[in-house]
Amino acid sequence: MNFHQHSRRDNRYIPRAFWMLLILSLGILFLNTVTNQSISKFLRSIASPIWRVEARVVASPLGAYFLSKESLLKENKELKNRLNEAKLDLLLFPVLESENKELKLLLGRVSGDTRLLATVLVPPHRNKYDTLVIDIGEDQPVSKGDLVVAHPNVPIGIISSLNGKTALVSLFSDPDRETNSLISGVGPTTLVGLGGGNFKIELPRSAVVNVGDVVRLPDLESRVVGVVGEIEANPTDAFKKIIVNSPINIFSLRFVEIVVGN
Amino acid sequence: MWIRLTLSILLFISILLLPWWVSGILALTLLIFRPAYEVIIAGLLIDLLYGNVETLPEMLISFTTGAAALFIVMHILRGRLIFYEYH
Repeated sequence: MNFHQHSRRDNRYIPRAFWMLLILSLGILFLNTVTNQSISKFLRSIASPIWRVEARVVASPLGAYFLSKESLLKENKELKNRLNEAKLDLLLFPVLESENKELKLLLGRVSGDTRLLATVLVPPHRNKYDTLVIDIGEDQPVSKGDLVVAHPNVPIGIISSLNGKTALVSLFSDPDRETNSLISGVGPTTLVGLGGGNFKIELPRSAVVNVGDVVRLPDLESRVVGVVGEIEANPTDAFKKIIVNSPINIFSLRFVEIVVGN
Repeated sequence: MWIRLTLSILLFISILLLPWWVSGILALTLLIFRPAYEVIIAGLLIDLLYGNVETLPEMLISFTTGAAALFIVMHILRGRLIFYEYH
């Protein structure tokens, strides 16, 4: 038996083709940015039929064959527990909602928004960018900057780009993205995205914040964008870091609503 | 050649239909044995389809530059690996 060595090419230098391809790619990215994402829109319009078919297959009974029995049982149990917890919370909800509406009416602030339901074609776990692709585009009365919420009324992001029949939603939890917010008892703060539906806030050490405190958007609806999950405080630091978690699982979103004209 | 072609097709399909780490594994597999330029095209495709690249710093820290960095690392590594054939 003989062992023959592969001929070793000289790998000291990076091939010229690589540099040309890299410059070309960065040029395409720059051109895409300058032309208001026209290349992205074109590519998404080609890809959207594939995503739609995939969404239909996953939602159909055929999609169930691709899920293991154990994962379905686990999901079933988890959903039953969450349903029981939600039932308890819901007992007080009609009372509070009615009271809230009456108070707003008394103060002359009536809120009513138009919403459009959209299917999530590409969830955030498909890529490392915290973005979603939804099946509503320029053919519907939506515009760039419209707020996107997940059921029941949890804001998750805004529409950042519109194509023919799809739209790209940029999530608030996109790393390093800053969003104005309010924490009960503290006041206005800035939410900084960490990715994966998580955020961080930096507050002075003297600020009183507890795990479980609600973080809202500073709008009339006071939509809950997250819940304080963890507080990291170092005695030598003048500031403490608050980790805020989204109340919904953005990776399992199938439907979202667009608040039109927000 | 057929293996490379199959892996390349799977790479582009995984960008549309599968999580990002599957594309990462396929890209790494393609780069192990030879310079696979399609990995950089795949990175560009991810940025164009899913990214919201609007500023120069975002352009420099993107899947395209990440794929390019992976290409360089694997190119250097390949130069230090010896593959033997058994006959």
